[in-house]
Amino acid sequence: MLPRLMAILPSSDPATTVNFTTQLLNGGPIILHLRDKNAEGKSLYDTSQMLKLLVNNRNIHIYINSRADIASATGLSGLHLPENSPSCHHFRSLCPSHLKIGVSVHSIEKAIEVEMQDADYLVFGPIFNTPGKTAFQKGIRMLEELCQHVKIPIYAIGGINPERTVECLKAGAYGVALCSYLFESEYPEKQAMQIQEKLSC
Amino acid sequence: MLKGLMTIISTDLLNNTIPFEIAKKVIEGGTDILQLRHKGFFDKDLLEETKNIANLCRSNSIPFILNDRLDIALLSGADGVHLGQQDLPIHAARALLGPSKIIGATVSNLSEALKAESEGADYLGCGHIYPTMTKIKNGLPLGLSGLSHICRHSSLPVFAVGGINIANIGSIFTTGASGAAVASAICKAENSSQATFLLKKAIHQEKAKRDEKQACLPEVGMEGLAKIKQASVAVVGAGGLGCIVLMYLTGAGVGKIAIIDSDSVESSNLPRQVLYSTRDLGILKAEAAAHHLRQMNPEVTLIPLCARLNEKNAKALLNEYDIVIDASDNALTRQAIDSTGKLCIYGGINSFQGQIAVFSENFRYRDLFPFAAKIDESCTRNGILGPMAGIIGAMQAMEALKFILGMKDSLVGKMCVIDANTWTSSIFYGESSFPIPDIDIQISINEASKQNALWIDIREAHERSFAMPEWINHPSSSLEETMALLPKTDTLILICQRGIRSRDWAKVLRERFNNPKIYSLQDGVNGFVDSYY
Repeated sequence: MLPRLMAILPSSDPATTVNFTTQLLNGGPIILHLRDKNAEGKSLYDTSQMLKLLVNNRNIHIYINSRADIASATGLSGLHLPENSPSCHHFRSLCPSHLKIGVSVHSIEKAIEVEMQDADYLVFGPIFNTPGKTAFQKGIRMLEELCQHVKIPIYAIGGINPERTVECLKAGAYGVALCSYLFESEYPEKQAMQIQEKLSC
Repeated sequence: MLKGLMTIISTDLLNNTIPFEIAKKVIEGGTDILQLRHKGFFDKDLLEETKNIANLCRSNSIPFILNDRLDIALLSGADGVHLGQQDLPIHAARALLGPSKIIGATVSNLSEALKAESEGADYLGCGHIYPTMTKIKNGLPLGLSGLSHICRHSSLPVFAVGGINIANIGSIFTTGASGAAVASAICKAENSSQATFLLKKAIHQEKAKRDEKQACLPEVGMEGLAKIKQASVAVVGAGGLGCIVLMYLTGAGVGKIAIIDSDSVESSNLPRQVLYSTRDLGILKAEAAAHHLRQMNPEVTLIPLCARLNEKNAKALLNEYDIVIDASDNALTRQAIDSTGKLCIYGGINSFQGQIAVFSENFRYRDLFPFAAKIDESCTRNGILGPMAGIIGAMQAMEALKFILGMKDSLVGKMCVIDANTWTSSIFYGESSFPIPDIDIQISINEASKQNALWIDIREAHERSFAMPEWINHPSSSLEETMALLPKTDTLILICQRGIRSRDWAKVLRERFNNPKIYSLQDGVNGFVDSYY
């Protein structure tokens, strides 16, 4: 079963990554999403290997953004694709069958298309205002509408906190994806537990 | 193949031109390999662009390599991927790509080069050689000396990269590098097609120096050089004869050479198998030979085949080659080659005598040796001095080149025998004859002992560690003369170590002296010893 909490790591720098991951080791089931568009292959490879060792047998699933080659080479659990990426069925042929593939989408049309291409989940947003993204927020109503059209799990992203997690779940989201709420805090584990609590209601 | 000019289309060097357009132009200009180095593309657009270029390259039979992104390379149908030190590790890439895709590795020193080789890279991009602004570089340029150092110690094809232009590209090919990779000098040129063409021309000019002495022979010339480069030769046996043949044919620049040998290098090989050194002991000969020969001439496509040729595989292994060189040391292999009916340049040595023949449709090995062995060993393991192999091997290489050049006075249908004691040589004209069955030629020990016969030991003096006092010694080297002195009515039983030479001689002497009572002792001295002791 897919964890309902997706934590997007703010960088692939080994020290930062290890630091954050260590703090989430007891934060319940989590998708740890490694995203760094500027990182070179070797550093992503090394970081992925390190994270795998670090999380060991815990219920922490490591996903990587865009790089199907790194995902396959290091045996990660998932591959996350941006909206402007080749469609996910292309990547299926390259990756081991257990690998989950998800896609970021910003419209309902795109979400329907991606579902038809056999994606395992979607990330939709930004739902709320967020400093990270300048795009227009989609709002909770659009999330609700999307959830009526799409059957695969949807993670809401953008300005998520514990209260908003409840709203997103009510709208039909499967889970939430967060970055700054966790990692800009002094206690990522505590923050994660607050979210997990709402997710398990 | 991985050599010549590799054009690197680097998107950060292009002003508003799309990579596909440049690809068309550099292919028109004659690039040998294409690499795409991309920055700032969305993955989706990168895949589209890569697919288009991959298709274009495939239809022009040009290898296409994508920089960095192995996943996109696989999805687009590119032939391989080029990885820098900061990209996915080579061993991980090899595990994902399998053996058939090309992997290139950027290296800037010998230890990186050897690491890349051990992890499964197919070629090295070695640099930077000259100062360059194309990528931000650390450290000083390697220069030609740094480049040749790496070329000397790596067995992979090396492409020099960094700061290479029309003025210095020729010098790259004085270092042992297989190729040069060029980005700025093509991408920033006003006319990238012409820039590619001029770079290729500069490479050709440098490479032509190698062939100067060959080309100025009227029998060779530019036309002959082209024939040599297009020729394909299979060399069966990479031993005493094979080493010499391989060295001269590789030196001459024969386009494609297969090296067929299943043995490994042993210390007793070294005095005459001059391609190998003590470092090669225990290594498969075909592999070791290919390694050394590639360094001699990276232009030649060398195909090591570590297999023992037999009648079953001979046709498949030899089929695509114009010429077969028989540099083997046993009758079974020779018969297997013969069975293919291919043009074959045969060489053989026996102590101070050597022979070379060219077999075509009308004159084959079986005509020369109708009673050749059925067992997998030569009749005797005679000693040999290295230069004898050198002489015959060099003659075989010479015949191969003469044939490739279409020269009239070749040895096709003839055999040349040379004696290094006296330096006499003679030519025999071959005649096709169907093998005559050797019924009655052999005689068993039981049968032989009932006969009132003269027993003639045809072995050379040094082979006679065991002999019966009754046996008359007439070494085969002088057999014909002494035979004339023997009474013709007697039953004669010829003996050699294993009964192979004696069988051939019995056949020859029966005809020569019209005496049907000349026999060969079956299984020779070995059989004799087995049944009596």
